[in-house]
Amino acid sequence: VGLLGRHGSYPFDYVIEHLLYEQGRTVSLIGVHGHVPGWPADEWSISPRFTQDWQRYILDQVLARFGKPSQVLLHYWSEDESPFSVGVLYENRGILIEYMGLTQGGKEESAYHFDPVVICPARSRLTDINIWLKSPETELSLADVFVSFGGGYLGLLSYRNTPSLEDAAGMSLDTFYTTYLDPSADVCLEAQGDLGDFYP
Amino acid sequence: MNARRFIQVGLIVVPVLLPPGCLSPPQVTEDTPTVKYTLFPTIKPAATSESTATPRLTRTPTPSLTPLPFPTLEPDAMHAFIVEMLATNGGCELPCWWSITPGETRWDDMIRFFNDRSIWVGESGWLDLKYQTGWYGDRLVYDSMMEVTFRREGDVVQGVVVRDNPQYAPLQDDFAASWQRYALQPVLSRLGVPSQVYLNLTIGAPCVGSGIFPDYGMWVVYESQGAAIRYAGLALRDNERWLVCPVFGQLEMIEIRLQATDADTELVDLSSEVFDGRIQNLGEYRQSRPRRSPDGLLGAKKLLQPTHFGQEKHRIDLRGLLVPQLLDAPVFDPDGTFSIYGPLPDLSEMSMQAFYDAFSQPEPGICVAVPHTDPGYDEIVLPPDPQVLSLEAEDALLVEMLATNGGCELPCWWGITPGVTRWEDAQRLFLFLQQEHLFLVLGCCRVGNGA
Repeated sequence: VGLLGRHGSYPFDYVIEHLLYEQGRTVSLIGVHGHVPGWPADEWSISPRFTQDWQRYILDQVLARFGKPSQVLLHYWSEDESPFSVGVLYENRGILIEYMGLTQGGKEESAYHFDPVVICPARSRLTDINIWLKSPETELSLADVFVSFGGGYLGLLSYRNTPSLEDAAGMSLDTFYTTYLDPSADVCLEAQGDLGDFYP
Repeated sequence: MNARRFIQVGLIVVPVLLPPGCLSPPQVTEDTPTVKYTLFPTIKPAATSESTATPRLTRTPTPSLTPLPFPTLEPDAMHAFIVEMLATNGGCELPCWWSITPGETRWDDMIRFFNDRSIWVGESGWLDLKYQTGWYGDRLVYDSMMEVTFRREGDVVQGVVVRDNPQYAPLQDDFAASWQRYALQPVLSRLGVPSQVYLNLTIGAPCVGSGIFPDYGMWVVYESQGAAIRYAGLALRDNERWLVCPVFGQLEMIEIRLQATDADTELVDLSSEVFDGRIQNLGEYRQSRPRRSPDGLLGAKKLLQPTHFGQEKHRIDLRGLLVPQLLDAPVFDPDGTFSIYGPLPDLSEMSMQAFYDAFSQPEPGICVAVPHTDPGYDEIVLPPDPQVLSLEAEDALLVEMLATNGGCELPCWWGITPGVTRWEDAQRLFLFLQQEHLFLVLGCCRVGNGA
């Protein structure tokens, strides 16, 4: 099911795409892509209505309702101004929420890739919020879902490297939880450049 | 993923032929119960030779023509008679049907022709080709092996309507072979370039539900020759077009209409065909809301389908929670079907000659391509609907759904819970949203069977 939600007329403030998967005549997996058109091509500014309308699914709200996640996975390209993903997983609940935005950073003149890659999942900088919900019977783990289906509305390139928060940014789950539980937190993660993906 | 999914099923008795679009509920005959099958014991072959059956009965019959095989009344013989007649058409060519020529054969001669073969003809012109399907209580139940109905004008046969019966397995199971004579390629080869081809594509909501295919009905019309044949099959979708690649018997349905060559009625009235329950392959309960373009012939429309799942409309709380005023609205079937219909040259770039050139060949190698309909078709075809939400109301509803998540918590999404919600209910929810114009359906996507 491809659905386009709208605010006003084209270009919309954001679009919503739904993906439904069936297993045994029952819905087994739901994917919801909330996406701000024009990004990451940087053609338009991010509409404030996106995070306003998606308030319920913003990181601090999710952490407040569901607690510390079971896992946080990252995906990023070792480039500046390229899409990053922060995957927040609640394995027991069957919930994966992927926050996307654009990386920041710089590199040394002689360096092959950016290091560190700066990831800021603060609400004002989000371009996509993707939600994946699965039934317990679905064989795929949420980490599998993140690898297989991550990338959201424009996700054309499959993920290869999806390091954990701890491996890539040296941040524990507890720290992540307490840090981003604060709605005013504007904390960025510094991820190792060599754990990012490279464009093919 | 079975084309038979489209074919309506049900126990049908055909004591009278039904008008297109009507299905009979199970009925029983009033015959005296008897185990042995009897066709119509009161029929007596006509004793006179005033008119002799010929391969092409006319007002001035020729007495020297070869007689046709004489079937017995047993079902096997009836079946064999039909198979033989379908293969030979009684030795004549359309619009003649089994030796009866519309506009030429006298009505009484037609009756006598079939009575001579122990086939009874109903008052309204339908052939009694019935067979016993079982028992209902202590009564025998019958169905027809196929449908043949003659139309009368004065004392002359004016037309014939012929249909297969999807319920009669012995013929349906060998559909392509049994009806081969009337398949597209041999018909084109024998009758030449058709005067018109009408297409009616019936398309389910994109990607909603595995096993739901778009399908097509295609009338090939020979207006001056008094013949029209309707074929059916599955349509294919690529990125830009719907493709109709005729394969005879892909959907085991055929209808043949024949009439006198000087008849002043059109063989196919597409403006009524597209709303004809029979022409729609998908189901017995389909009732489309007539929404016609000004010329009534070309366009696209939604087919809204009041569902037989009506009692379940409260299963998804979202409806009651957010749009209580719509609770009384009909609940629609999940396939969200719409239709694209019109003459072939208007829907595609294919001319009648090109159609003939391609499909008169055993292996055409090409398909009819119909460009995707402009998503704005509703605004063109449909009259204003006061029930449709305004843009502001749509936005408000969208924001409310995002804010409340339909009254449930993740992993439930807008009333749909993975592992709990039935697939049909999820489809119904999204179809409901689509039909209220809350969202635009963008097209095909990545729906699959399980993750």
